[in-house]
Amino acid sequence: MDKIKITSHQLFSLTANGAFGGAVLLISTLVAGIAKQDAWIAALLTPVLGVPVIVIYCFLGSRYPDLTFIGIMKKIFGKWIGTIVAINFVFTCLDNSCGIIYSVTDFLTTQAIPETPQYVISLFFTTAVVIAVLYGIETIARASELFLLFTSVLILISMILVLPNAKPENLQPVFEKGIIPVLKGTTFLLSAYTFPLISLLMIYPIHLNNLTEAVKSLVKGYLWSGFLIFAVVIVPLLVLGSGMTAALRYPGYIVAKEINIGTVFSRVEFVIDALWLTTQLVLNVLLFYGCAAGLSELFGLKDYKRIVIPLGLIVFVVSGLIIPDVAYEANYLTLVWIPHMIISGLIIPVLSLVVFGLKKWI
Amino acid sequence: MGIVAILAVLAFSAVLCIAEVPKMLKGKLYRELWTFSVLLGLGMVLAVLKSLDVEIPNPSDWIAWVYSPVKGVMKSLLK
Repeated sequence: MDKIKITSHQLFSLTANGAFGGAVLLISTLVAGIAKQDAWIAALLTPVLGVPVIVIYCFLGSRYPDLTFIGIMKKIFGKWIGTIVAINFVFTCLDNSCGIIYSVTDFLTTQAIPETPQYVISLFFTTAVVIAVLYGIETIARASELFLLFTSVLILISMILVLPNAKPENLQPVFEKGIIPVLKGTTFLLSAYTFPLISLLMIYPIHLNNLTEAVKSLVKGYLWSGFLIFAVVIVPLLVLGSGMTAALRYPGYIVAKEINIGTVFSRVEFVIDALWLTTQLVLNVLLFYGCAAGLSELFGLKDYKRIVIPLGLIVFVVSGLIIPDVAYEANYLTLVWIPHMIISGLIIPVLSLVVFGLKKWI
Repeated sequence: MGIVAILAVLAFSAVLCIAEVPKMLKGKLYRELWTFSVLLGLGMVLAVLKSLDVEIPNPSDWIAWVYSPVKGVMKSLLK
């Protein structure tokens, strides 16, 4: 298993796609709901606070270059607490991959193909994820290199094309209620696109040759996705205004509907749709890979590929019942999912860093 | 509709077992076989119950229960 190696540019594209993945369509409405017209400042501030988190992940990985996250946790915390932390990690990955499949089906059934049953859509998406994980991490990394090119180009083009409709006065007044709402928005953005990257620790130290290059490409990929998310957050604010952005469910999609150049170049919203699905796929593959590989390492299996298809069946069924309705989702996202991601993505790595330091010091 | 879904899940599991189990037996991967069977059984039970419209406990509710002590804090932080 550890013979598989990926290049650092592949890691860059995996990071960028994965971080961008969960966020494209849902994020702007949620952040605009919290920070109003200052949401773009929150999007600017997030990479500043997120890079130290990524550096902590890199540091943890670089201390143990031949272990995965499960192994690192067992080394640092000992057998029992390490196993509990690892189970939490596997469960987080499983839960998040169900949630991503839910959000894909929810978006498609509400916006694009309302007459299709939700399980039909999630069947296709889950099948794609399972096949990707069965092909292995090398294939996923190469595919994500390809995806990153066209997602970045297309999202930037569509965001630039919609700019003639922008009204700069929508961003005023800046800092209407002070810095506090901006910081709340930053907390949200951090848990949406920084903390899920903990699943990269299943890939980062063990499947890479050059670790110093890899650290650079992780940070670069993170910053690139931060830039793309900044574009996705600021353009709906400019075009629709903060009230409208917060009220809509998928503002990025609605914004792309505004593109209409000489009545020839219109209906670009499905471009946004397609690239959202692609990046969601990459993030979901990362999480699902983390789940399958983590579970098989916990049980001491030789080959994680044996349990991928049964896990896919479980994820497929659970994705349909994990979130019953939209009101539940709004409540769940702010009150449960954010503390869950903060604990799994921030507190556990920081704690393990502290324990690692104490062990070295004593 | 429920019957079709149940039959589809059972057929899928049968095909998967026919394809995978002999490989694992030949390679003497008994640990893999156990994990595979438990996970596949869990998935099958879930799928059949879901097709019969039985209420399945929602894992999000468990997570919500775990994080219910910080609910007030999160409310004051993010609302």
